Amino acid sequence: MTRRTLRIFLCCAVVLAAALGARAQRPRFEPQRDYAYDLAATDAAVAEVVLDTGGFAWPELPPGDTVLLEVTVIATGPDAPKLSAARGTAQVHQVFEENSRGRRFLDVSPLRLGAGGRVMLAAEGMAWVEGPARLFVYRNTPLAGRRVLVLAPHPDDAEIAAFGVYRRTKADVVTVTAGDAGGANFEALWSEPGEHFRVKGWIRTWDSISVPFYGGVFPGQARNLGYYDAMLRPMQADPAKAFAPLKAKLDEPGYYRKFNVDPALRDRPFASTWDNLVADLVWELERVRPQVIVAPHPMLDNHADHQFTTIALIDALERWPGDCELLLYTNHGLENEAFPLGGRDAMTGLPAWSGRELFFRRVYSHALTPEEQRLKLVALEAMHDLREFDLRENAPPILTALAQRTREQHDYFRRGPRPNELFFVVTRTDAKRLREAFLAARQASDRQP
Amino acid sequence: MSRRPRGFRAWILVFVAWAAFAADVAAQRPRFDPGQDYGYDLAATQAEVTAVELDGQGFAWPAGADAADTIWLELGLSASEGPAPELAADRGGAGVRQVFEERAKGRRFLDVSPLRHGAGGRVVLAGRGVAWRPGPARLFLYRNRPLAGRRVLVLAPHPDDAEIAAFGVYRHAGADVVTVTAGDSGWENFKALYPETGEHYRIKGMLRTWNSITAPFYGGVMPGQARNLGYYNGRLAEMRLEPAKEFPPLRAMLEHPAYYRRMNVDAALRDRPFRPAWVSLVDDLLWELRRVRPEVIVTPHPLLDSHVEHQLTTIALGEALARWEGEVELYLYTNHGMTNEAYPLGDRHAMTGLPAWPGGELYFSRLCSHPLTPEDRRLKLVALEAQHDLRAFDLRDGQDPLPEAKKLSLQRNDYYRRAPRPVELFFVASRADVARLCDAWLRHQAPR
Repeated sequence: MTRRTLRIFLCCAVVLAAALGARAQRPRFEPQRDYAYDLAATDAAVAEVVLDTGGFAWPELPPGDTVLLEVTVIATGPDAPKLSAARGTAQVHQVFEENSRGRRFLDVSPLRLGAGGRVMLAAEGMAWVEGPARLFVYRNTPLAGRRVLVLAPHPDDAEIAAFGVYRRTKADVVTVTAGDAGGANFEALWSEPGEHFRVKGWIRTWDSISVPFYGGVFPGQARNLGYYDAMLRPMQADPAKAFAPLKAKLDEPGYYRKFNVDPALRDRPFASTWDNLVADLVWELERVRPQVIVAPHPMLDNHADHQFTTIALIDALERWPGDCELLLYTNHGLENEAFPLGGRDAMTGLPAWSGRELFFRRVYSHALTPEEQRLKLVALEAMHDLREFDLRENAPPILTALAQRTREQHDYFRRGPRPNELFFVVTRTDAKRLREAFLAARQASDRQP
Repeated sequence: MSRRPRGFRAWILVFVAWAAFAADVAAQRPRFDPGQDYGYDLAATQAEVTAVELDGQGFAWPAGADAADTIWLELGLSASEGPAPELAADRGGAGVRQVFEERAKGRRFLDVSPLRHGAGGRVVLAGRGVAWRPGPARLFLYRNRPLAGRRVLVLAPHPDDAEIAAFGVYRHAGADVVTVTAGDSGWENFKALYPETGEHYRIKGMLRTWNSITAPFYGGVMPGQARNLGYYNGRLAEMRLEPAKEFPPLRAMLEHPAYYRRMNVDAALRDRPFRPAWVSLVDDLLWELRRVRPEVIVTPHPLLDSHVEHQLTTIALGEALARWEGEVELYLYTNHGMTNEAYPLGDRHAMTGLPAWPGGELYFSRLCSHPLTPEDRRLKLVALEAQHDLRAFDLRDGQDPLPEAKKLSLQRNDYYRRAPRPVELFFVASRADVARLCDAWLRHQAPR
């Protein structure tokens, strides 16, 4: 087979794999539907506005940091619809699903800093429905000065979801797994799978410890618990059982944990069980005494390791009495993996959602300065699983076709470094209800054939 | 209308690339004429010399050679054709390859150190585009003290130099790795994100300082044991001429002179006062010598490495050594071959070889070919790719991350090709050698 035909063959295989992968991402959001969020039932102040052909009058708003405009969007062309809003010099734009028709939410938080009483709207490939509309205003406790713990299921999740937050608050950043599964990034150097995934986990563990520096968090304050990628769900189902890594061949179970710069965690005994994970999280809660914990939203984030990171956290919270709030993020939008939509200068927006209760009190849109967005991009590029491992051999890396395909939709260089990071704010009490609802839904879906 | 400007732009690009190439070549002053002998006089070093007889197929491997760690075959070569004349040597299961200059003709040295692990009494030679002169030849055998268990200090002028020169050494010896400058100069890798020059170079130095502290991890050296003194790239030459004067960064705009030093994980260095002056640099090196108490110091060879900051790193070290008593050997490396930037030649599986050198005293006692295992070499590639200045900063937004001149330079000078070799090559010098070497370097400077 010539190199050219091999490449064509690979491309076909990759397209097929991508198609299968897309189908595996279960409930695809149907763009003709409304977003199901009921923000009026949350702790929002509601302001009525009237949309006309050019925009709307910016009302006198109660104090707040996060402002969402509820608006009905009708796509008018084949391209992804885009809505822009400007007030004085402040402006935002956001991109919605192709063929959108229904209720959406435009994040207009940055317009608080604009001047003048008028917001100009501009649409590309869409129209908005004129008439009465609502602004939802949230007032969150400022993060500055609060102790923050950022929890990441895998190396790079903390950066994708909360680089701006940890840079601003000098948070502790704790990653749960080594990231020792997934694609064969380093196949060109390590062809034996067990060895390859050992090295991959080792490289990514170091990413999770060393990259938060770009946000001012030193190794030591960035830590990795050293659990194994893709194993959290089976661990939760059998909490006392020790599980082996999915693909990596390790000399000893605590291999990844030993690479911590923080001596206390490095020397802490390791067992790859759910019970031990929960005990580690209790230990971290006692050390950090966080007032804010940043973690994935188990219903909105599609990845099982993300979901069960937060389930483990809520288990741990049962054994730790501290007063704290949860800020929940979405790195793999359940109903649309491509979330957030549009280019990296577009607002993050809310993830597509047609399901039920999400147990949050507030929405928090955390603004990043342009400098923070640049540094966030630097931090994302520093992650081995997000950049291409290109050794400049004469042939392109074998995964190029896959990488190219993936980047069209799922590139975190596009999805990550946005003007804002979006969180759902959940209380301790609501977190418990969220866990029960999540686990009940899991059980129900597991019972189905 | 639209066609002509595009062609014009292409021509401008070609011109810019050519100009950069020409400047690159011109900057590498003493060009080596490939028709010349390599000027090394290894018989004057602490080598055991063994005569061998080359025939048309190879030579007889002398009994007893296996006890040496570093073994060089001196022979006469004559290249016939092709861009990369290559000589291979094989001894029962152990093999080496080395690549020489295009049109090479004269005395050369083939690193046959790995053949000591081979079996049998016969070495088979094979040339590709090159023939060797049959007849009497010499093997130079060196016995170096093993590095394992010795305290080693690796000095790097810039972030990435420690990895290029001595990744295998610091991985095996668990060395302290100290980088002198932040690497806050050079080409504009991050221009797409930071168009303003002062800001661009501040960030570039920040990223590279962090590289120098975190990439040694891939060789088992934790941050803290890897440190960066935080001096400014491109200033060492002026600093040496006015030793007490403080010099600002060449291009980076910093809020505070100690900006880079404060990124250290090692608390003692982070809190140590910083002054961007030569006397401070020498004091800092003395302070490091007292902390590390090295038995071996790895640093650039000031006559073989063409980069002035590489030379000056060792000159500053020489001044610090004059004020420090410890017993120590120096392992001197060549990251920018004086007479040929493309050194080492050939692909990354070929031996490093000696850098082209027309002659003149180099003040070393021995050669050391430090062998890297295949795993060392894979990890070394990982450590090189982790350097922001060696990989392309590709944000996948349609913009080409590499300017044309850089691409052209990578065709010849890519460190992914030059560095992760089967061996790392050092010129071993005693304290006394280094004092004389530094004097010689200073004499070379005087006429300018």
